Amino acid sequence: MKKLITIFNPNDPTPTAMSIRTHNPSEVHVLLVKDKAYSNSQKNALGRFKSWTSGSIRPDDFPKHMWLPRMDWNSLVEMGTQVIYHHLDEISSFDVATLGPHIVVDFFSGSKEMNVGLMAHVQVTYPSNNIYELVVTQLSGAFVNIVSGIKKEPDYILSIRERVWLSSGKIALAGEKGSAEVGERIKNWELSFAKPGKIMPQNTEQLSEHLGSPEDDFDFEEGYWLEHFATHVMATWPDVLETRRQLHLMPATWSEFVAAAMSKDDLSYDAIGYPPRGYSEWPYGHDENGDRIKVQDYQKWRDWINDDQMLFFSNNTFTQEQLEYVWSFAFINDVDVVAIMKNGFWIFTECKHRTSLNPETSQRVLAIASSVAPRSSICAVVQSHKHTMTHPKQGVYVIMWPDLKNSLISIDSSDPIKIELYNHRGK
Amino acid sequence: MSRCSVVVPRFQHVYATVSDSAIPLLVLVEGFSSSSFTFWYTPEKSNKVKYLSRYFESKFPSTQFGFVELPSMNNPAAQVLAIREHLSILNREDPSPSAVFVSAGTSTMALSMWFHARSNSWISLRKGLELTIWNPTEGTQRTSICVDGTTLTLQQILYSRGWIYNGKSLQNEGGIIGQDITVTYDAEQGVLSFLKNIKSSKSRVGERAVSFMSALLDEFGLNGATYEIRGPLSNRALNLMNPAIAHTEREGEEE
Repeated sequence: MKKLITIFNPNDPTPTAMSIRTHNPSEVHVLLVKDKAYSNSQKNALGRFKSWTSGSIRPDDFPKHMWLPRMDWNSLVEMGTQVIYHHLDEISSFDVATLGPHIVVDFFSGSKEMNVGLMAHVQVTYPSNNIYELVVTQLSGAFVNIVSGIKKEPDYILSIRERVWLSSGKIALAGEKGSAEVGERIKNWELSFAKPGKIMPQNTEQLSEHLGSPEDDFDFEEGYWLEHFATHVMATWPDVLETRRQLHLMPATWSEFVAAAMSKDDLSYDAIGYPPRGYSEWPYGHDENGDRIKVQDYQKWRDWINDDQMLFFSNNTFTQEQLEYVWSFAFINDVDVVAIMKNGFWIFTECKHRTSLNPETSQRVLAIASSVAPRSSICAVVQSHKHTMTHPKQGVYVIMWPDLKNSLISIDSSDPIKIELYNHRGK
Repeated sequence: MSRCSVVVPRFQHVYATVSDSAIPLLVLVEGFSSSSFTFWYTPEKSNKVKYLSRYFESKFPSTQFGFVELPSMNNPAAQVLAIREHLSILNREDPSPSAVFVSAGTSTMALSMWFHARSNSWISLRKGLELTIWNPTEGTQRTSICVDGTTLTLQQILYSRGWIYNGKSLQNEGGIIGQDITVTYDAEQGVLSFLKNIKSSKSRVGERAVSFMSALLDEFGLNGATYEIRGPLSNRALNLMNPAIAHTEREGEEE
């Protein structure tokens, strides 16, 4: 029966959650030190952590029937882990003596000063060190015993969706997972130079078979196939833990979710049955012809439409297909390919199978990086006409798609802070 | 009433890690200059060592400084073993009281250093010039040592990282030059400040400023240093900006 002790990290609960996933303990003792003095953002972080432990991040006001069950993950209870919170003014007031043997103390989460105090407290309580292990979980999810130097691989690692939630409080919908096996089969694909200025793959029918399901009908003039290609080939890079195609970030409130979905021009009201003139009664009256009296204040109209759309979704049920359809439009930010590296870095990638690149492409990918992982992300554009740039240009690596066969971005080339990637000296 | 102790605890050895931030290590040595210091560094930070070593040895000629290279940040298990081996030799040779500075380096490095040094005491510097010393094993009261900020000057701090400032431009020994930048040191707070004013709204000017400020952040770190750009920045430059760099659109208007 493994008992994990970890200090809650109120500035970003990701390390605390990572530590729990890594050890998959029977009991986790989460130390909330001076939590009465938490700032609002720290209280929010604790709220996000508690939602994470519950396995569902569905906001309280979000109707159950509108939620996608695949957005949930196993709760800690389902994983066989009991969570025990300890509200402490000082580390030394934590009663570690009652825990007994099989203790793992993980110093990954919390400040170093607090962790030294915790280590000393455990050592004083248990003079014999065969009761406990002193470890630090690493960004890869592996953990290192700081006494013996022995490194062990984790039981589980956090998924991309969990990480997005914990670090930014946004709901993430991630698409298909990249397969290193498929990536190995396609990464050296023959090239065609038939089109001036644009590198195309040869034998596109064969490539289609490797890239997607039989229903996928790839148009090799457009960029969709390249998203699939990059997702699989980047999964072969040795430093990459996981890749996903299409990461959509959704707002974490019901009203913003509805507004995000219904504001997309491509969403068809017919497909979901939303009446073109709204679902509820127009509150500002009608004229003698029965037409709505217009409101001068745009914000009043905006508020009514948002309330009306929320009411429509709350009062009606939808087929699974319709639900997936609504969710596919409810994003506020998206990126074509996302990868998590073993050092915890993110790679955000846009794919453009065109003969030119515009600045908006770079800006989109930089914006999503700023929102999810401002200090630990690498941004890239995979494209078909420019040579790969070994140094990032304006914060973004530009990669020619056939070059994806090489691990172009390795842990050794990325320093733990983003500034190395947009470096004065690198130019 | 001041929280600062007038009696500085005596340690024969102080162990610390070379990190991005310049001020904490300088304050540490000012506060405990009668001790000997072992600074651990990883290959990722090795470019800082020659400047630090030159600075400390010229300013404190009678103090002993050692610099020990650890394996890379990407190999934490090897780091633990290297720390364990090195400290077991030191402990055997000289078991005098020691302390570990925990405010720099990764948790793996700081925690394993504290464990293997058998120091009992740690020293930390969360901000400013106040060093905290505590022996958590004995559970005694924390002691605060307030370092006199005037023992450091702006030029000394810059020199410790291989930079010089002439009142207008900032240059390092590698040849990087930043023009029209204001660099100040607040000796009361122990804070180094970098301020870049931008007048042009051309995106390239703003992006160059963000780039240069980012390079400075790499050189001088977050603890004990502030970074600010004043003036218009394009969206692209703003997207690239590290959150640690403050941006003011116009004077007095913070974004």
